[in-house]
Formats: sequence, structure tokens, C-alpha cells
Amino acid sequence: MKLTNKLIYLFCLSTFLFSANSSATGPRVAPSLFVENKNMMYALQYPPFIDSNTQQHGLLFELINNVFNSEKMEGVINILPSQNMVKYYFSQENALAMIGHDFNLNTIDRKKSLFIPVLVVDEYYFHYQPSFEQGLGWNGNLSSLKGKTYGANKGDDVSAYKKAGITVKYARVTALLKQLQQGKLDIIREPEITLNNLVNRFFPDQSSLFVKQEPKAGVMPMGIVFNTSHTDGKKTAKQFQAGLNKLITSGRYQEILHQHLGEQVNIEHFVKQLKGKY
Amino acid sequence: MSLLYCSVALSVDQVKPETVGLSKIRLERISQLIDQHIAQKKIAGAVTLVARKGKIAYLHSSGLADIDKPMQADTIFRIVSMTKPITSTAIMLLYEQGKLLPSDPVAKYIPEFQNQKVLVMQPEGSDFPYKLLPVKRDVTIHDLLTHTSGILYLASTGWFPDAKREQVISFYRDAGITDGFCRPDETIGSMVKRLAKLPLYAQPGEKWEYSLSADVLGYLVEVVSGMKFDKFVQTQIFDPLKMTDSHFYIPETKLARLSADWNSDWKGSLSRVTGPLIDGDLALCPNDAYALSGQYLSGGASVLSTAYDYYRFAQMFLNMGELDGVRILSRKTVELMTATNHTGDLDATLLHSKGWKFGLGFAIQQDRSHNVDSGDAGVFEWAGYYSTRFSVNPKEQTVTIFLSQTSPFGAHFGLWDKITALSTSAIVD
Repeated sequence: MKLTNKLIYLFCLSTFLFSANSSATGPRVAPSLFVENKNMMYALQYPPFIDSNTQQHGLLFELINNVFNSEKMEGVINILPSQNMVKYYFSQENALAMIGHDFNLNTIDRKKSLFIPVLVVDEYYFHYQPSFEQGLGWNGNLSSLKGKTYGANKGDDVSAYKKAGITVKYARVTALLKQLQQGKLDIIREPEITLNNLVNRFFPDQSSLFVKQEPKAGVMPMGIVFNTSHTDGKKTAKQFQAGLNKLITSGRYQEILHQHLGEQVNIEHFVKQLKGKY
Repeated sequence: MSLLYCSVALSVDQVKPETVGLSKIRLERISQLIDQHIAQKKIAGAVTLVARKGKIAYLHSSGLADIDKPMQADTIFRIVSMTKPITSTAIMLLYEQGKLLPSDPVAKYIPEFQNQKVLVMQPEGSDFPYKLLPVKRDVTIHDLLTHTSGILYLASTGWFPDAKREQVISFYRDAGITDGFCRPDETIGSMVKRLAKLPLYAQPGEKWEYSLSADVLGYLVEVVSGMKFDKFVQTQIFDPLKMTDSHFYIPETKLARLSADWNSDWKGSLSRVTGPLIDGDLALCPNDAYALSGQYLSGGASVLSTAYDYYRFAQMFLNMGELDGVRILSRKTVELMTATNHTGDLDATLLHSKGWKFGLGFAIQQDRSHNVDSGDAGVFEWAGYYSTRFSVNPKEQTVTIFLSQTSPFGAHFGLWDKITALSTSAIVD
């Protein structure tokens, strides 16, 4: 067979064997069987920080992606809708890392985890104005919310709330917001940009009715948890931390924050909070 | 000879039963059965329609549609899962337009379906209760049409409780997936994309599991056609079939015609449902049907319709794809959809028991060697959660439709089976 013919034959064969969009009737083998999961990372969908529905996939995703790209580190981030699935891949499939916040890891997983905060945002309590026209009376101490009903995410540590005489109900974040609006909850705790994102999506004409309580309730550290059981876990974590530092000193970190949060945000506040211990 | 059905506002051409080989006296037995159930306060009211040879021979409405509102022939019902055959029809229209094949992987159109995993329980005593394994092959459109995709309904934890199902459903809950019986405040695409990333209950094609598959099909219609699902169905199915009272969201002018839903203990206690009905993972919101607009367009549950409209849809199938000179589907596509050999040995055992197979949108009676009460091999039918059911018998050219709005669902199987038995035994030619 001439070389040209051989090449044509090989091209046709490879097209037949590896066409991802084959539409002919017949058995198919899923590509997942051949994907090497060596450097898989899993992130929980949490708009606007991690959002598979936007081009940049959210602020946190973009920050992490920038570090990986600038340091030429290998990794694939898979955004999932379930925290339990994210944790499954970390603990059972030895994923390189997981990305998000409030991981609530068990003792075994905590031992093999190395958390690097990438973004630390302020959290606030919010109430629905028609339910409490005079406000909640929040003064920075949980005892001021005694008798109220608080909406928490499943797995959150709520012992302080219970100790303060606050009733706790659990749901997903979107359900929490809806229950707040329906008067089934008195307070929820979220970063302001998360709440604004949700209110714009579900109650765009009621944005002024979801009232932020000062002072802030605390902070939410978001970032990446490297798996030290993974062959590359420790090495990649070290490389990532160095890359993140470079991203900040180069000003690129600040640029990305401005792009997502607007020019008016106080970037130094974010950078300062990132230096805290979490 | 045509008569005008004049006890209601709806103008329907109705023939004397005898002209189409049905006995009027025998059809009256259906009225007696239903009226008896109404008198016993098992159901509030119902509309029942029997047609043969393309003519409506029996249309009976009795009882209440709502408090102080009598049931009418044109009362509008939540047909819930009777939406599914409409959704399957939408998919087969795209198939006939050369835009997709049933054998296509869903991932070809919705990339989130790539690299799916199947949940497999580990032996007792293992360090971790389950593993997520790669699918042996991609989920296809055919799997969705036949409910063999490995996707579940959350409510199935109540029907068939088992540890594996519970584990899969726990991921559904964690990801905010709902069955779509309450109208979620999001688009169908948003829900389907999340669902695609969650583990399957079984390898594609290996188990028959009644599921959210039809909701995925609804979104697939949007992706492939480039139209919103409701608009596609409206322009390609409802308009050509003159199903003028079928909607995803009810127009304000028709609100008064929408039946209430009733809660029945099947022992004489009947009350109008005023709020959501929650039973474990089963969440029903009959009052969501009063919403005039919304985002979620469930391919498995959203349509509101009347007995007459659904008759027109069913008669189109009986006519092998056309009605009143308008062809919706080809004869060969109807044959494909109503074939009994799509799922191999897997039986469609939710509405019926063994001996029923699932085609591309309906359950189909395969034989008489199992526990069947009436009808013939080839009868195809499906039902809806608030007690609605349709049955089409191609051999005898009959369509039987029963529409009520009564919860819970499980108590009605006997009544439905008796109605189809009575409509079948009204055949006298």
C-alpha cells in the first residue's frame, strides 16, 4: 500500500474509532473509560464564586485557574452540584483537590487535607424586611437573636446558635432564601454577593427587602483543599501557594477581583483577610 | 348521526354509540361506576370519554370540579405524567425532521451528560458504602424515551425503597433536584444540567425506572430545536391538532375552568387540597397549576388539558399519525413508538405488572399471559398523578380517557382498570 493510501486509511480508521459525535446506531464506549483522572479537582457550584453557567466559571474558579495556568500546573476542574459528590471524589477517588467552602470534613479526610484560602469574604446576617419591620436587633452577639429561626446549610456547625436559644432549620442556599422570603426563617447568613446574586435571580423586584445586618457575622474562607494522599498533592499545594502569592504581588489577583466585584471594592481588605488563619 | 353535546359549553361532535359498534346501555355502566364513587365521596368528580372509529360516543362529566362548581366536559385538568407522551412526540417530530436519532448519546446535545457515573453499592462491612463507576456506554435518547436511562424520580424512594436508591436520591436532594410536580423557580435546562452530573441508579439500558427522563427530553427539545419547549409543543403539536385548551401555564381567561385537586382517604372523607402535598420525597403542588406564568417547563408533568384535547392527541396516534387531514407523525414513527420490543426483557411495572412493555412514550400491553383485565395486545396507555388515565386500543379502534383530580394516586388503579374494562365490554360489533 502506498504511503498516501496508508495515511488516508489510518485517518478514516481513526475518525471511525474516535469520533466523539458519532451518530450511527450501534454500541458506544464512553470516553470516560479512557480519561486519566490523575489531576482531577472537584468544585461545588456556588454562584457567583463557582458557576458553570458563566464563561469564566465564577470568581473563585478564575483565581484558581489563573494560578494553575501561570504556574503551568496540570489539573482539570469539574464543577458539581452536590457537596457530597465533591467530598466523595476527594475521599474515595483520591482526587488531587476540591474547591469551595465549608467542607465539613470528617477526621480521616481532615488529616489528609491541606487547605489554601484563596478568597475570604465577609458574611452577614440577612432578614426579610416585611417580617421584621423594626429590624432584628442584631448587636454582634448571638444572644440578641434568641428565639429566632436561623437557616443553615446541612453540615454547618450550629452549636453556638442552639446554645443561644436560636432554632435551626437546614436547607440548600436557594431554599434558605425562599424560606426567608416566605417567613419560614427569620435569618440566614451569607456573603453579601451571594445573597445579591440569588435575590437578583429569584426576587429581582424585592432586592431592597432583604436587609443586611451590621456588624458582619463573620467571614467565609473559600479556597482549595489539596489531598496529601495524592501523589502530587503536597508538591502541587506548595506550588499553588507560591503561585497565589505571585498572583497577588503582580496585581493580577486584584484585577480579577475588580472585574467580578466592581471597581469600588476595597481590595486591600480582601488581601488582608487572606493573611488570616483558617 | 351527529349530536351536539349541549349540557356544557364545549361543542363536541358526538355520535350515537351504536353507530360505532358500542352499546349505549353498556357505556352507561361507566357513568354508574363513576357516580357511585362520587356519591361515596371517593372522588369529587370526573370527565370520561370513550371514542371509537374516530368518533366520540360517550362523554360523561359528573360531580364537582371545585367547591360549588360542577364538573364540565371542558374542565381543565392537571394531566401530569400524561405530559410524557406529548414530550416523546415532540422528540419524534425532531427525529422526523432529521435533527436527532433515538440512538444518539444525549451528551451529543447536552455536554453535561458526558462521563456519567453509576452508583454501585459495596458489600456490607466495606470502608465506604458505595462506589461511582464509569458508565459502560452513554445514555441515549432512546434510554430517555423508554425510561431505561438509570435516572430516577425522587418519589421512587417511597415506591421501591432500597439502600442504593436512597443513596442516589440523597445526591438529588443535595443538588436541589425536584421531580417537577411542584413548579421549580428555575429553567428546565438549569435543573437538567445539574441532574446530568449526578450518579445514575443503573447502567444505561439495564433497568426500567420511571423517572425524570422526560424532563431531560423536554430540555433536549429546546437544545435541538432552538425553541422554548412550550413554544415548540404549542406550534408543532397543540396548534396543528387544534388542542386549544392544552397549556403549560394556564391563560387567565381559563382559570375558572381549572379543576381543584381533592384529597381522598377512599373511605368517604374528601377535602379540597389547599397547599402542597408532601409525603417523604414525593412533593406535589396542585395549586401551582393556577400560576399564569413561570420558568419551569416539565416534559414529564407540566401540561394542563381537557378530555377532548387529549382525545385528539390520542386519536392522532390511533390514525397512525394524522388527524383531520393534518399529519403530525408518519405511520412508521407511530409503529416505532408503539412497538413492544424496545426494552428487551424489561417490563414497565409501575402502572401495570408484567406483560407490559414501554415504547417511546407509553406502556404497551405485550401479551395476555400475564395478569391483565381487558384490552388486547398492542393497547397503549399512561396515567397522571392526580388520577388521570388514557388507553388506546388500536385493534378495536377505541380511545378511553378518564380525568379526575384526586390524591393520593395509589387508590385509583382499580377504578381505572374497571373503566377500561367497561369501555372494552361496551364493544358489541
